[in-house]
Amino acid sequence: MSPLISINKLSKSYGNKNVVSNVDLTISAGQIVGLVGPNGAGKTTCLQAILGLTDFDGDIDVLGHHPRKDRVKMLNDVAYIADVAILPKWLKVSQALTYMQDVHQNFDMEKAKVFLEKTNISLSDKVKVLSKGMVTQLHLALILAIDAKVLILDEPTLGLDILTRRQFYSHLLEDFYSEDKCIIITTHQIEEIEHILTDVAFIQEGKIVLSESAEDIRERFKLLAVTNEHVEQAKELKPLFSNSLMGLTTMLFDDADKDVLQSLGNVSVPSLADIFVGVMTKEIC
Amino acid sequence: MNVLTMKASIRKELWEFKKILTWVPVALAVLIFVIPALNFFLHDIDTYALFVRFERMVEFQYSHAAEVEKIFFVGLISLFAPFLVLSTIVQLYYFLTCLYDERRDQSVMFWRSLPVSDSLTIMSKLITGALVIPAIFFMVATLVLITILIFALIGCIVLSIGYDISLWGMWVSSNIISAASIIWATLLPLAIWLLPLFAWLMLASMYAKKAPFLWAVLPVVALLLVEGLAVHYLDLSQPFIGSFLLEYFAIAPEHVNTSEIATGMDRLVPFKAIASNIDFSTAFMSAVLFYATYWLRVNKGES
Repeated sequence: MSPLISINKLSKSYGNKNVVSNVDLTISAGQIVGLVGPNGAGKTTCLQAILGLTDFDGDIDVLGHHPRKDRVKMLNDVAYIADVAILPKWLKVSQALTYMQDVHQNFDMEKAKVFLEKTNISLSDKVKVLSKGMVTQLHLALILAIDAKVLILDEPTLGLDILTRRQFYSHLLEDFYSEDKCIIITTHQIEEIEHILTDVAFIQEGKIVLSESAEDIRERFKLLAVTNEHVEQAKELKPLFSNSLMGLTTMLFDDADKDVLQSLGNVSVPSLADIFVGVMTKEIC
Repeated sequence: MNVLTMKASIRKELWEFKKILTWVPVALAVLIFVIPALNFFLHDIDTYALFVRFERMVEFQYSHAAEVEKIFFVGLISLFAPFLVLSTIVQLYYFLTCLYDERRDQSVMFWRSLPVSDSLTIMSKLITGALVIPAIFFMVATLVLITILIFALIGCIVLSIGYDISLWGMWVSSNIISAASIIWATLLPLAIWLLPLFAWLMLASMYAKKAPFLWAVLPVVALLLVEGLAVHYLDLSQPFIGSFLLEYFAIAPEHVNTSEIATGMDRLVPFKAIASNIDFSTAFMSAVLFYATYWLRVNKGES
């Protein structure tokens, strides 16, 4: 399958500070990629480079377009949500729909209206009277009504309650996702989206430290719950991360032999959050 | 350039500044009617003197037709002038905030995620500020004029039928439509003349992280101070930048051709006085400042 987004040797620096260094990433249709990293890791900079919102070194190809040179054409097929509160307060819902209809050739107003009918948002409402969750729903309605090939979400559910967050992702899958599209998401709440991700890329200090399919990652990493008597033996296998609590030690292993681990304790599939913490901290006990 | 997108972008600007663009001209229009009405009700009207004046006007309208035209035109300018002054203030405010506000509330990230080019965005803001805003004020002024003319028409009918006083000659001599058209036509040279100022304010609006007004004013003040000091201490003949700005933004008497007043072309004088200030430097300064604004819009990270 041909990639929708190809990133080769993406680098970006502000003065002497390298924010992103030599990032390589390829995203194809059907993929939902979680770009996960701690604060300041370079996630937003990567996304902004993909959107042509910032200059960069290296090559990026989005649907055959260069994000900087061909930004307007590219944005006909790329949709973007960043944080939650970026819709201007003076804007009315009806005005937002009309404007989108006029400037976006792939915007379907009826689809947006159908989505909004499921919410408490009225067409005559102004953004300033909407709650944070409603603003996100409105933004989502505008974005989901675009027949885009690529959807980029930068911390889209930041500051929202858990109900709204879940609703957001369920709408995303029901109303937007299909096999010919791809989604890139950055979020801190990785545990909430790990069930929808097909691929994961961990980014740390501007570098991709792990990029694999979610399935491969779950096979590659193993979580071992080991009792005190086997701790020393387990440590010899060099876990990425270890955590002791109430007499039970949990260790994360990368590419360890499952049979050997099973002889030491209970082996389970770690969550992406566990793997993220392990890879980011990399204590190597 | 996509016309539909341009129209949508200008409409978006009008939505954003809807309150100020509605209430300021409407409030002024109301004042224009309320103040004479208050004057009428609070003071006794000498009806005899009024009718004497009407009788004189009957003779005057035919014997001094050219004077009637001039008086009407001056009256028209007096009507449009307060709208123009307020429009200029609103324009300055608009240009100072049009690129700053959307960065302050971070909505710029939303607007820039849509397939609208930065050049089109800047162009739409320029058209809105330079032409659409004064056109709105002039539109309201024209509505006020039409209302006044309707009152005048009713007055003429009453005087004609009830008192046998005919002032219909006034309507012919006034050349109402051509006079109003000339004032409307002044909009374009006015916008071009002030283009460097508008471009400078847009640049300040684009550059400032805080207080765009200070960014617009302080660099100019600093430049003039430095130049003033240089002229003083280096014994130069005159400050170049200061003189240039003063000359550019002045409607100097030498620009008014007195022979045109004598030949009855005086109604075009305001138009020509403004147009005479437009030259190569207008285009050059505006182009440089607009390009700088565009460059910052494209290259300045906003998050």
